[in-house]
Order: sequence, then C-alpha cells, then structure tokens
Amino acid sequence: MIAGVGIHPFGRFDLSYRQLGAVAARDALADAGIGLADLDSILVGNVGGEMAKGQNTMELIGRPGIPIINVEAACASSASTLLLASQLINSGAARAILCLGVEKAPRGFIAASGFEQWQIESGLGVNPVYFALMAQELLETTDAKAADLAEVSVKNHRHAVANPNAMYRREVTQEDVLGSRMVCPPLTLLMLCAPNEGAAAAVLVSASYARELGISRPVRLNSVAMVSRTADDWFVPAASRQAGRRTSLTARAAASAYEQAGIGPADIDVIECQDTDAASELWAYRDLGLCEPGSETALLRSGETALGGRVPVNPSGGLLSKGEPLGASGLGQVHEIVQQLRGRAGARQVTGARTGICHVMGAGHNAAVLVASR
Amino acid sequence: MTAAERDRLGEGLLAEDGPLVPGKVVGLRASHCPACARWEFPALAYCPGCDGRAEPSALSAQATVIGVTAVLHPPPGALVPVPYTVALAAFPEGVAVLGVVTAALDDVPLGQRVETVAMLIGERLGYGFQLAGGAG
Ligand SMILES: [Zn+2]
Repeated sequence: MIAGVGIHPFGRFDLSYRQLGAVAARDALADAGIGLADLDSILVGNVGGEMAKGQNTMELIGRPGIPIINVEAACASSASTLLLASQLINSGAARAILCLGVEKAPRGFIAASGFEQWQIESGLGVNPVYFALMAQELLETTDAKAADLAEVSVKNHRHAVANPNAMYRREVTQEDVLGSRMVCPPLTLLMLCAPNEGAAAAVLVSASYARELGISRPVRLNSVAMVSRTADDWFVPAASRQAGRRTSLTARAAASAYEQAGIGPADIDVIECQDTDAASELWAYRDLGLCEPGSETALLRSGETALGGRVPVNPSGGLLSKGEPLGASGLGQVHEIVQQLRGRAGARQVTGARTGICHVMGAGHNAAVLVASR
Repeated sequence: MTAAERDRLGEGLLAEDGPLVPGKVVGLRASHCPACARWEFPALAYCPGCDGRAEPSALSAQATVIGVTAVLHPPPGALVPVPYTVALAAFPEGVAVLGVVTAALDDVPLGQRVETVAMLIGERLGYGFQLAGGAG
C-alpha cells in the first residue's frame, strides 16, 4: 500500500541535494500522516551524490535510528527502492518503509553513465547517440516521421502547463521542437529531456498497518517488476549489440508487472513512462503493450495518449517537461500516479482513473514497471 | 614518438599486436562462442548467449552501417572534434559495433559499407570506421 507521497519540484535550485530530499521526505510523511518513529527503514535512491547520502539527507529531518540504505540503479534507482520496499513488506519483514529519490544532476550530457574511458575519449560515451539510433530505427521501420517525434514533445509540454512540479511549463509547437538546436540527428534539443534536480518520496505500508494507522484510502501497489540485461538487449553503455535481433527490457518488465498484478494493457487508465527522448515514449507504447508494433504513431495521432484520450501517457508532462533528476524521476512518476488515482491531479486529472502504471529505463540496462490502483 | 610506437586506447580493442599507424585497416578483437556461434565486442570470457566459454578472435574488417547519427556538440571527455559521425556497423559475424566514421553524416547512408581502421584519438590509437574503399 502507498500511504503517502511527497515531492520537491523538479528544476534548478539554490539548494543542496540534502535539502531537496528533506522536503520530499517530510512531504511524504505528512501526506501519510505518520512520523519517522512509525517507520522500519528508509531506502534512498540517488545516482550522483556523496557517501552516505540517505543518512546525510535524513539528518535534516530527524534521527530515527533505523536502517537507512542507499540504492543506485541509474534512472531506475527510485524503482529499486520501491521493489525492495514492497518485497520487504510483502514478506512480513517490515510494515512501513520510506522510499526517497533525490538528485542534483549537472547540466548537459550525462557523462558518467558507465562508459569505459576508451568509449568516452573515442566520442562514443554519449547517451543521446543511443536514443538517436533508436529514433532512427523507429523512423525507418514504421511510418513515424520527425513531426511525430515533435508531437510527443508538444503533447507532454501541453500536459505540464498544469503541473506545478514541472521544470518547463510552457506550451511548444511542432515548429518550436523541430527548429530547436539539433543534438544528435534526428533528435533536437526539445525532443530530449534535461538532467536536473529534484526529489520525490513515497511511504509504503502493509495493509494491516494501513488499517492500524487509520489511513482511509491508501493506493494499492499491485506489483513492481524490474529487469536487467539479458543476451540480446541493447542500451547505454553497451559498445555493441547483436546485429539481427534486439529484445526489449521494457517489454519483459511490463509482462512481469502485468502478470503479478493480474492485469493487461487494456486495464490501464493512466501511464507515466520514461520519455528520455520523444522516440522513447513511442517505443514504450509498443513495449508496454498499448499498441501493435508499427502502430505507435497511429496511437499518438489518435490523441488517445493525450489528456482526454483513452489512456493518457505522461499527464505530468513527462521527463521532457519535468526534467530528469535521475535518482528521483521514478518516484516522481509515482507521485503523479498516486495523485491521479486519488483524483487530486487538478487540471491534468485523468477522469475516473483506477489503474496506473509507471515505467523507467536506466543506463546499465535497467527497466522497471509498476502497477498501482485504487 | 613515432606513430608506430603510440599507445593503444583501451585494452585489447584491436586484433593486431604489431606496430600500427593511423588509418591502417584492422580487425577488432572480439570473442566467439564455439558452442552457439555468438560474437561479442569487446571480447568476453563467457558467452552471454549460452554461458559457454568464449574464445578471443578477430572480426572482419568490413561492416555495413545499420544505424547512423552525429554528435554536434562536444561531449565531456571526448577527444574527437565535433561535429562527428557515429555509426552502428554490423559485421558479417553478427555483432554490430558503435564507432566514429571519418565522413560527414550525409555521406554515410544506411547500408553503407565501412571498414575498421586504427584511428588516432588524442595521443593514442583506438578504432574508427572509414568508408570502404575510401582513403578516410
Ligand atoms: Zn554461446
């Protein structure tokens, strides 16, 4: 059960990562209506911080004396905390855990994505190269056009106007997106998310503890599934892949999450997915089972993945609008989905949302999908 | 320092152990699994396909471009001047490898034949691709 969620907006701030994290953690505890003393442990997802980052962050809000464990899995760091917390709670080993994701990422290209030094010096340690090649494959093998890539950014930026936690809250046009600086063809600057700063948190509790605490309408965390690389996957930072075949980390994570939750893609009302770049969201349509291979642009053009459509994707504005605070982005998605399932998402509310999913994909070949419902 | 004495970039990327000069056509050092015929670059000791023991071997010099983009703004730590072209090149052995191509993006269509060459990266020798038959 998700008893409460908290967030520090994503953007650029004159605050330390500790301060950002403390805001989100306090916010989540207040939302759940519990105190530090009610927790069994604290799990902290972060990529670029220092030694003992969770401990240093919690120092700002109290000294509960319980285990504080730091977890890192690139952009799936937040999801890792949720996987561990749900397993600990489901096993009976814990009844209340605070999951916190926090990041203060430097501007521009993310340099330390696990590349070897020879890759970096050879000019190959460049994340957008991977995204550009995936975008090119979509353009070559489906009817997707550059305008479709632009439309993903247009849609998500439109959604973000109503999200006070997003970094960019201004609508953009296809012309703006296509005319922005080319980064790695076919991807322009406005088709790529910006690494930034922020924090998000969730309090997970057992069902019995939720009743004990008197939490009236907790959101159910039906499943958390996470996968790492198998033989034929390909993502940052791998220098090579098999030429004739490529399997999908996201598709495997989704299949596992759906099976554990006992749902299928048709049951989903709202989605937060890893739109690291515009093409990634279209690939996610396929890999999350929203459409058949090759129908990604038809689904986008139908408007079904925009607010007001059948299954809105990234009603928060996605990473394209919120920015990408690596260790915090996954819990940022959970914050949005919980607000959606509670019916408290304001102008970006998905009407009648009962089941939502979150999807992240990180360097080092990590993908995670979780299912939540009310 | 003469070109032939330059240090290699990375560990065991190039299949030739002897003296090398930039621009020389070379094979990449990879691994081959005798059980399932899978190739990996850089070389691995065990095959991720079948978990069998893999053997060091060399890839063919020539490959076919199956993906291509360019880097237009300097990435942190890169010693290759922008703009530069990056291709995903498929070798006949079945593995596709990322590498910088010594040609403009417009001159590297999908399906383009390229060959692996020793490339000067900073002060050391790594690998890159040149258009097959071209002078690079
Ligand atoms: Zn094998």
